Amino acid sequence: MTVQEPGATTATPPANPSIEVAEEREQSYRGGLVIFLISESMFFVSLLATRFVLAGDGHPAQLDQVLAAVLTILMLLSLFPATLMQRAAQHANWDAVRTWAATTLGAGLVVLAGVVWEWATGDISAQSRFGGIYYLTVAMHTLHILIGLLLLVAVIARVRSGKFTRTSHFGVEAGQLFWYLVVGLWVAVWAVLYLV
Amino acid sequence: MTSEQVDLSPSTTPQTQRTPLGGLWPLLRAFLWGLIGVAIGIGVTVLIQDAHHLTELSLVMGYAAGLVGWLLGIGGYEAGLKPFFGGDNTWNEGHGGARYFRFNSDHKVVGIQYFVTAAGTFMLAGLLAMLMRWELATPDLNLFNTNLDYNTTFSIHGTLMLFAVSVVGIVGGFGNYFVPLMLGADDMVFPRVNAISYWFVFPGIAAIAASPLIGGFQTGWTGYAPLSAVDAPGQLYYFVGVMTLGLSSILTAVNVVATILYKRAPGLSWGRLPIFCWSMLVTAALNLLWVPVVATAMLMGLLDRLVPTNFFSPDGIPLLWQDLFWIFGHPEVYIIILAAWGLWLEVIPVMARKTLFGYRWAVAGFIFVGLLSGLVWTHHMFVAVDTNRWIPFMSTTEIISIPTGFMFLATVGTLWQARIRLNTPMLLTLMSVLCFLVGGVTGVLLADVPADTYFNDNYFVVAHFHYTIIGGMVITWFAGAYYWFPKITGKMYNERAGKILSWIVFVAFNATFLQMFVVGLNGMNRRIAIYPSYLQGENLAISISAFVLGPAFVGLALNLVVGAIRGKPAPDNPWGGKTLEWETTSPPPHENFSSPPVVTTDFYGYGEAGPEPEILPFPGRREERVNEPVGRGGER
Repeated sequence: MTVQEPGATTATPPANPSIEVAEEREQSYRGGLVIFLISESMFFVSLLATRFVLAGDGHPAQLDQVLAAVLTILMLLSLFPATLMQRAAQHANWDAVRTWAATTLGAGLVVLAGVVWEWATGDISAQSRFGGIYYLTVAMHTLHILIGLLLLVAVIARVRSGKFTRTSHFGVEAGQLFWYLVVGLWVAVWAVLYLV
Repeated sequence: MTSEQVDLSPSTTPQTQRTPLGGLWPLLRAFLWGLIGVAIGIGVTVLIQDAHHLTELSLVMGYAAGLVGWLLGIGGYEAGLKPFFGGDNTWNEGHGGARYFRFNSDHKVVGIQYFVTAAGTFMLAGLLAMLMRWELATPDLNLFNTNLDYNTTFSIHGTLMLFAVSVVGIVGGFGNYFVPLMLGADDMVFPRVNAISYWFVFPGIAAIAASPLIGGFQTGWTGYAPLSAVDAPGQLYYFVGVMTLGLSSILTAVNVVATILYKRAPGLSWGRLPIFCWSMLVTAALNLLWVPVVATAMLMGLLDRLVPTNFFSPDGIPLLWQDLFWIFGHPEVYIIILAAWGLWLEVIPVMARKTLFGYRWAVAGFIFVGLLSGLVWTHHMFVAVDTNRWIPFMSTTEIISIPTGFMFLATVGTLWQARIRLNTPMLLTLMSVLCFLVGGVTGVLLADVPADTYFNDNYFVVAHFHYTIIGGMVITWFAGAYYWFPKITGKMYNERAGKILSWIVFVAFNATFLQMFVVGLNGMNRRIAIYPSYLQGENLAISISAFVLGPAFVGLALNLVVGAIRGKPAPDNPWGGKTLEWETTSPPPHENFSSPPVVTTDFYGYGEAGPEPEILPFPGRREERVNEPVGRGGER
């Protein structure tokens, strides 16, 4: 038969079913989010590939390499508070979660300001081949920074309302994983636009 | 939550009695908030630009803000935004029929929403096709006043059919409804993401359908640059409409993959995964990988108009649009057809009562088609590219027919020496197999570069893809609707009317599109309203056949509507199917299964390969079977 009467299986029931269920659920959320993040990366695969098709390699001298390098370092450093945020959540240390989330948020805001500064003071024409793909790629990435920052704000807000528990705090992990994507994509975008 | 049957009577709970229009209040609010968004978007943009008229940027910003307002209004605010920032989810998901007109996280409701919307859009875009055939009945302009009007009509027809019907009907409709059921799950992994993904569809369709109001667009569904950058402003809503519909596809795809990975019932190993779920998995993977690429292309096309940038202008690379579009566009057609193939292989073993032949071959076929689909795109643009691209892409295109063949092997192998119950779902499935075969074989012809240089932008191509899409997807969509109709509604449709209407559709479809191959061979171009007069006789014949086909489709659909209203109660497993959706009531309760099923064998063995399932009683089960086969089912 295809279907067996439930309860008549040979497996023994789990010791604490509700924790197992919660863990399975968090695992499915994590897997689903990773799948979504891979899909988001495909936007950037096509953008970065287009950069080479449209503008070859080489970049204009007007790009502010120092500013970009500083922002990249800041982005990489922001990986630490993001990781610590999730670790604190696993220990149910909610004040620390808030602090680390706010730290990551602060770093992200500085990077955002840096991007706005580069655009305002930069000298690259959107009508040029490089310029067009440069602005579009950075704009798409900035959109992802904004979403990442929103997720961090959501973490802080949800900690404030007491929505997280030791076993159920996927929102924190989502903030962490999405921020990892933001940083990873930043490095790729920086390398392709500024270094090559 | 208690089990509930589908109930179309008006809701009478106190909550909805207090709000205006009862169950429809969220829909009204969505419109209201959407309109406010549009007004704010346009107003603020026009102010910033210091313009005294509607600018293209303001139309786009208005759409974006309107989309946000719409999504919040339909329930996204209470169910999404408030909990996101630490509040409680206070959204009332409604009861009975009211559930379908608001944000509702039950995957069965979402499936029906997608299904009905796709069906309605099919009728709308089909009506446009009727107008096109009326125009083409004479060589000069007769119905439309200008070429722009005709060109906008076929552009909307194609865009809606490709982005809002063919990828939504089976994948969004049946995928959402039946994947969790077939897995023995209670819902998708992300029910609220699922709920909101549906509500992206309306604005997308509305934008595309409203494009005539802002000038129409003439590029067809393929949106080629540089025409898309310099021509009528309706192109803007093509870009944003397609991006919106693409976003909906991505969100659905995340859910499908995650659910298949993580929510299979105990005992449901990968080797036992239903074939429809395999096809949905590959379809979802293709969506996840390639829809972002077309979204990027659409964004770049939009910026070429708005900034303007020079991505695809003569200062950029015009051909790049075609490359980006078709790198998505070819996997898109496999996104359309894979789920239909999966559905063939669900219906055929059940109706033939024969073990599915070559399950692993079919799965391998799906996977390899998915992998190869990203390698063939240039065959849509042979005449535009450098000749050194010809041989590689002609080769890959011919090669992709091999994994397609694996799937046909499974189909034919299952039908071989089987005693087939030729009811409406089976009839439609077999018709679909035949029509897709015609489409597929003509595709092999088109893959041949010398032939393609004649056939490019010719009606031969139009006939080819209508055979594959209507023959392959739409007819199978109807087959699935008839197959699963008793499960979804708990009622039975009129079998005789179903068979008669199916035959009318089949004859009219073949009459219309077979003749289209001929008119193409005789030199008829696609996407033109004015053509040489020697082609009129054939065009008139095609139009007359099309005027039979349109009402026939409507009739085939109406038969289901009548059945839903007046049909006799149906048993829980009228066909004797073995997949898990048949192991629950018709329609299923909210939580799908009264207790989680445990799977011990695969679903496709019949005769010696798999004895008839001993169906254990569950609450409310109804016993008889419809269309019992005469004599024993097939042996291995």
